[in-house]
Amino acid sequence: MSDVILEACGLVYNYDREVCALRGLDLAARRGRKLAVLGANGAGKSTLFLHLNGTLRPEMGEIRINGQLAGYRRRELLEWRRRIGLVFQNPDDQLFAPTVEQDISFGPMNLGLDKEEVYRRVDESLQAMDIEELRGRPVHSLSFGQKKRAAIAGVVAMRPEVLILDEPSAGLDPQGVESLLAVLDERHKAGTTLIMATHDVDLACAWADEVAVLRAGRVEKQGSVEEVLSDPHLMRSSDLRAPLVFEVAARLMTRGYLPDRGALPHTREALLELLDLAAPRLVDNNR
Amino acid sequence: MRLTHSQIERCIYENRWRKRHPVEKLALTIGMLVLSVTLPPLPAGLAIALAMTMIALLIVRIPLSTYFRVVAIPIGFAFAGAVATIFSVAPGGGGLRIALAINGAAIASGLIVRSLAATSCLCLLLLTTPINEIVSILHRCGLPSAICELMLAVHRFIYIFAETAASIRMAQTARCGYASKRNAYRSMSRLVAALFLHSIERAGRLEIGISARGYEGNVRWIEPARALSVKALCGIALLEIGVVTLGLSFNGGWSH
Repeated sequence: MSDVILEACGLVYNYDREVCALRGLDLAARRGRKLAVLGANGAGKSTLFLHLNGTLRPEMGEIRINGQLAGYRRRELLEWRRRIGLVFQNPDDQLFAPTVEQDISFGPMNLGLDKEEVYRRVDESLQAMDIEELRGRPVHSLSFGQKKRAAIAGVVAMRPEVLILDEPSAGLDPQGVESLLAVLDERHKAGTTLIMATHDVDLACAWADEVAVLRAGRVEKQGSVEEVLSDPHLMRSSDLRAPLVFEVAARLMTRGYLPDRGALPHTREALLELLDLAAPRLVDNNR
Repeated sequence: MRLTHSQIERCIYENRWRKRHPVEKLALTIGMLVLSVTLPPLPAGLAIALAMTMIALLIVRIPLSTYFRVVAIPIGFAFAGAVATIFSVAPGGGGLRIALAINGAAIASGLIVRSLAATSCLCLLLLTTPINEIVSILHRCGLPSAICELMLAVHRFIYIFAETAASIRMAQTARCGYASKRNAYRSMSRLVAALFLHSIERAGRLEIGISARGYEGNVRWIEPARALSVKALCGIALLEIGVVTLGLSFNGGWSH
């Protein structure tokens, strides 16, 4: 069994004659990893995601799940969507049942599970997203952050092998982003492969195992965080910027404050730690 | 203070009858509603209006201000209608004449009492029972699922559109959209047009969103389990029999 769980090969898709949304896109998500898909607005992230769970059908190219060609027949699509869960950017596009609990039960019911199993899944997802107290609340009375969690819970309840999130941090405050990432990490530890679209390079840098940069409907580069995000030319041409932690660390290295051959820090905590280690030397320089 | 939908929401989801079986609430309110329409308004209508208001305020403990604000809206219409029945317009004296109608006052008072009774029944139901529980009972009574789903979708969209309309309106106000009558009419028409476009786009996105979760033309979700209390149903039946007895004994028959 190959370790690539979800693969897009040569996807081409046009919304209409003028706009080419995807132009021969290749992407591979490895089992049990966290993949961040980076791209400026209009690079094709959302279009790509709608392909990854079979909502849009490419004009050319194909999707493979576990190496097998994904089909578009009714049965195949249901199975596809069970295995590959998609969380939309706007939770209101997805939540529609009267209460949170009922909304979460919608996916499992569509899978044809029996009542007991559905209840078990609902409990499990409420717990996983840490929103047990919202169980009986009407969906429209939730705050934006709560809606976002409820929407993710509705997808988690289908126990997908791959969880795809479109801009999960959009509209959340820093605290909200942090706690959302914490519950997503729990999913990751439980064995779910995660794919996240974002244009927040700092977030991608701190969170991902692997990064793919999208530009004008194509994946410009996919690889390790360091390999991709520290490529200034690629970042600039894709209308993105290098992560702040990389820029700061690189500058400190060239100025001799940090050892030159050290690994780049991925999080602000790691950067601060590096600075603490280097602090005696900084003090020496000041004298 | 204005009546907001969050006030009504809070009432629906935090009242003392929240956990009661919807059939009990329907038996009481719809039963009484039927009685208030069929029995002669005096004294049965008054008794019903009084009983339902007491139940709403003392037993369910709906906040006084919320309750009266909700009841006041339909009652306002009833009063306007009743005033019209007092007068009659007839040709005479070379033109039209407005005169007091025969029995006008009696008809008007009957109308008002009836509306009061019926309104208090419906408001009690509205303020104690979430729409999904009512729809799920209707579904079990044989209403086609397409219609049930439509009702729920409409209910959900009301909130989304209220929010959208409020934010569009605020954005318009911030740019003097309602500074003059002329601006106000123009802004209002644009708001309505924007809302139409928005609703179509929204519906399309929702369809994609739920199809990603395995939607195949059939909306299914779990229904909350509630115990049906026989004691409560007996109490409701007794109350309704009491009202019927009261109504008939004063009037000596079912019809007026």
